[in-house]
Amino acid sequence: MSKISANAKGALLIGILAIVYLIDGRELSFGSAGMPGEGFVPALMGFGLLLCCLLLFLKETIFAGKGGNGGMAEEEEEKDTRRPLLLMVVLLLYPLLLPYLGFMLATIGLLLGCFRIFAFRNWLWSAGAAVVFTLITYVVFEKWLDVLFPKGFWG
Amino acid sequence: MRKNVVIGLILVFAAAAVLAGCGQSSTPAAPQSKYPEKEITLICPWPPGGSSDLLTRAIAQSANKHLGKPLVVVNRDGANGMVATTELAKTKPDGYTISLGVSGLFTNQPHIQKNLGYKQDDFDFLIGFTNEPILLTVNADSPYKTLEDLIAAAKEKNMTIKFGNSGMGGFPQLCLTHLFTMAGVKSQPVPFKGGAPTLAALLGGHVDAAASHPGEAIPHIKAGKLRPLAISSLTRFVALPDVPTMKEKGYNIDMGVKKYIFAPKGLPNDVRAKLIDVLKKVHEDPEFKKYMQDINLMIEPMDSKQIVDYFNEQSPIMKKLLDNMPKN
Amino acid sequence: MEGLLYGLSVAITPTNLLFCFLGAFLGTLVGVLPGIGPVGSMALLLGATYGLPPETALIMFAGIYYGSMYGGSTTSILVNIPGEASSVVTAIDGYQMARKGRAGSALCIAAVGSFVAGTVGLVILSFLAPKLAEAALKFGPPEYFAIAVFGLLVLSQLSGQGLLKSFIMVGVGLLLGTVGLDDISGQARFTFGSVDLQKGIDFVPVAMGLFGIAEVLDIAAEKVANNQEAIKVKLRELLPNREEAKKSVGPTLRGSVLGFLVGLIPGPAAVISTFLSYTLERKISKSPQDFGNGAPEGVAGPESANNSAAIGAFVPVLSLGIPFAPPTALLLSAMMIHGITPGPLLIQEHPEIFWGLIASMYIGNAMLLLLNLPMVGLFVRVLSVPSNLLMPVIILLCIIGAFAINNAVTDIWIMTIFGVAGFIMRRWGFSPAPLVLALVIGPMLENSLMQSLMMSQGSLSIFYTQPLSRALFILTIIVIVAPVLYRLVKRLSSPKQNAV
Repeated sequence: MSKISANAKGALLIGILAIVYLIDGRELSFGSAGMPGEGFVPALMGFGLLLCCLLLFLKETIFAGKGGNGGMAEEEEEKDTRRPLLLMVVLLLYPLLLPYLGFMLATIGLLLGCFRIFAFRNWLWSAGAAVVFTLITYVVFEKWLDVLFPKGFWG
Repeated sequence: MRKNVVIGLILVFAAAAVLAGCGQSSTPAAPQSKYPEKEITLICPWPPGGSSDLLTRAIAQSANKHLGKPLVVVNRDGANGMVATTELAKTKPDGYTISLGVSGLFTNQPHIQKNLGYKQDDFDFLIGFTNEPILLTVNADSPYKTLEDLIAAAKEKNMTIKFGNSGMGGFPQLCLTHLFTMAGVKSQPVPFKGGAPTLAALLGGHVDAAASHPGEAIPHIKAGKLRPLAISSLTRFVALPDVPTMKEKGYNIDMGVKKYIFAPKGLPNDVRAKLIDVLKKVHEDPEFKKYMQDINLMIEPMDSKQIVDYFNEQSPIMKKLLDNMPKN
Repeated sequence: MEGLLYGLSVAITPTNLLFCFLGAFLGTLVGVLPGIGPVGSMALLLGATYGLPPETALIMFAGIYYGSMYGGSTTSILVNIPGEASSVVTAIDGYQMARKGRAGSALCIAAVGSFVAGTVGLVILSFLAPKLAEAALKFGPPEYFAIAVFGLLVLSQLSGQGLLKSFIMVGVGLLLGTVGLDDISGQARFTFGSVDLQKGIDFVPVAMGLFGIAEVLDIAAEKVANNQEAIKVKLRELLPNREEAKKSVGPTLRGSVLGFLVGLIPGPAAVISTFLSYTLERKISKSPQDFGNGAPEGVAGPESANNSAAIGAFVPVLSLGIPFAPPTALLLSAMMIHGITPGPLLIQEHPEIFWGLIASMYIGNAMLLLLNLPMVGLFVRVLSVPSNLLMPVIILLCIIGAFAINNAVTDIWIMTIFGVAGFIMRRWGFSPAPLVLALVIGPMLENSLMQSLMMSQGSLSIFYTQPLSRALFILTIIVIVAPVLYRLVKRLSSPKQNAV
């Protein structure tokens, strides 16, 4: 963990994204300066970003003379990591399940999960609050503001 | 007291029976379905505020006078209407979801997009509504008074005409490229994001000419800032009686954004007939006509067959134009 | 002047006053709700305006637009969720102020700043609109490109995270901005086969993810004991103290003028004006180290700028009939619904609309101030909700906001993915603000570059042969590039001195 700095990790990750971007952009026509194609600007920007990432990575790994503690990964070690991870799982599950479960069920589930992760009173209170908030938003947004939520398998 | 209640009940039942009988006796005579039983969604595949949106809403407003249930406009924009069209292709053909469409969806996009989510056969084209032709304008300060002036000047000085347009591959760009190619002069399209910035660039003198729809340019023409040279429809535009058509000038062009109402293929016959009937009444609505004139849309009624024929005729022309677009 | 008086007589009728208030109130509301912006709500109401007289409809619509500029800052300050692109910058210092218990003060500064800026903008609008519109037309693609480059360079100095890292964040934002159908060729790019991505990556879910969701995740990571206690607000602390008030005067006035001028430019003008103002204030501040840690100047400047930019955007619409910003495009539609063709002749043909609208905006601005100041107390209450109840509700609001933009689940995906990314970025010390803003400016940069190259047939000379564009590039070099080079040279030469 502590071998490479947060900056270097970020540079590496974003650099990889830039490479993926450039690979996907290969099929777009680059054109010429006089008649630039739709791949003209993306190619320039993709390589520019890659170059910046490379520079940052080199700066952090090779030229990092004085310890190279670029990020603040160290000082945050004592924070809770389980709860944000759980929350991320819940958040990513939500759009996955929303089209199947429909707005009501999925949202009640999401809110229940969130309330529990944030340790809101107890299960009963959490469930109650989840249902109430879901109903309120449903009425306000679906009924009054014409937002068309997915209905799921029962609509 | 109790007797009264009993009599009352009997009366109610009797009435119900008579009513039910009437209902039954009338149904076999004509298979009059109850369509529409609920509100009908009219999709506008563009964001609110554009000419498509105004047209859609005007249609809905007028149709609501003749349709038992409300026709509700829903804006579902994205990808030049392709998002909504792709969705419409997958919708159940029950007549409760219909959409506004533009000719480009079937004449141009098939040649531009590699994997289009819909094809012409997926749909039933009900009725054509309007045509938005393309108007060629120049800045009022420029020396070109007519189309001939512009073309002669370009030939003489070997000049490349830079013209603003609302996007590469769009009708205004293709139309003028087509025109200038026919005239044998060099041109360079400069695309902007929509008609308004295109005209702003022409007003500011950043391009030589502009391709736009009449509605966008008319206020500036009236104010004396822009000069119209030619229009791409077969007939002259009502609000611009002095502007010649390209056809009059010897170029065989009938291009424009033709807008129509369409539905997924497989509508029940009675539903289809009812919809077309109501939409025809919209065409005859004087209020609708007046409004179309106010917002500078050219009414051009077309029936189902005419729409398909127009697509089939224009599609090869567009394909050729798109293939010839400078791509290296 | 007599035009304005005539306008006042139009605006002061009870119906128009009522709709002016209604618009301003609705605007504040949609500004506060993340995801539901002025464009969406105006679109919803468009159908309802058929029955109103045109000037009344326009007065209401304009109210929604500038009202949303007032409300947009609220969620930025309170919970670090920018509801509009133009309040991303406000979140930087506004949220820090809120964490220090100065939320009330920040909201007041934003409200008063917005009022002053709106009024300054209106005065300029009333007297100079036609002339300014002519001037705005002189800006063509090369000039827009110069402005976009200038904006991006300023942007890379926005957060104090080092130039290289800022450039990387700007770069990521620019790449994200190219996803979807290309404005120019109409080709789908980087959509990986998804139809939903063809409309591009919208700014709102990205911002709500990177700021809002990431913040929630961050709070989840704190010890349970910590997040139970909410920030307590005393009533007395709702108003800015003398020092904060004094610090805000200059930025408000500078932001007002700057914002108005930038607002004349098409594209994301209000957004550009906010971070220009922010950077300007930090540059001339005596204590630049306060910026990012709750400096009131960092709220006052950008908030004023985006309001007067919103007023500036009315110039091209009212005097030319050309909308440069999406909300003003809807104003045009509202006119067209009533068969009024907006254009250069609007002042002559429909003075009741032109002047009535402007006069109503003076009134609306004052109404907004009166409406917003008392609400400060109410909004600040939000912070006293315990976070274990508040956080799930914020998640819910973000999700609905993201979904409501296009009624599409894709936007929820975008938001949650960027939420996770934002959480990781914070841990690794990357600041998300440049990314979000670059996403907004990216299309302007690309389009103007392509247009310029097409106009010049591939020659870069267009950028220095056009006098205006040349002037803008020279300005860029003097203001941005030179100081950076100077610092670099200094830094390169200083280690030698240390070694000796």
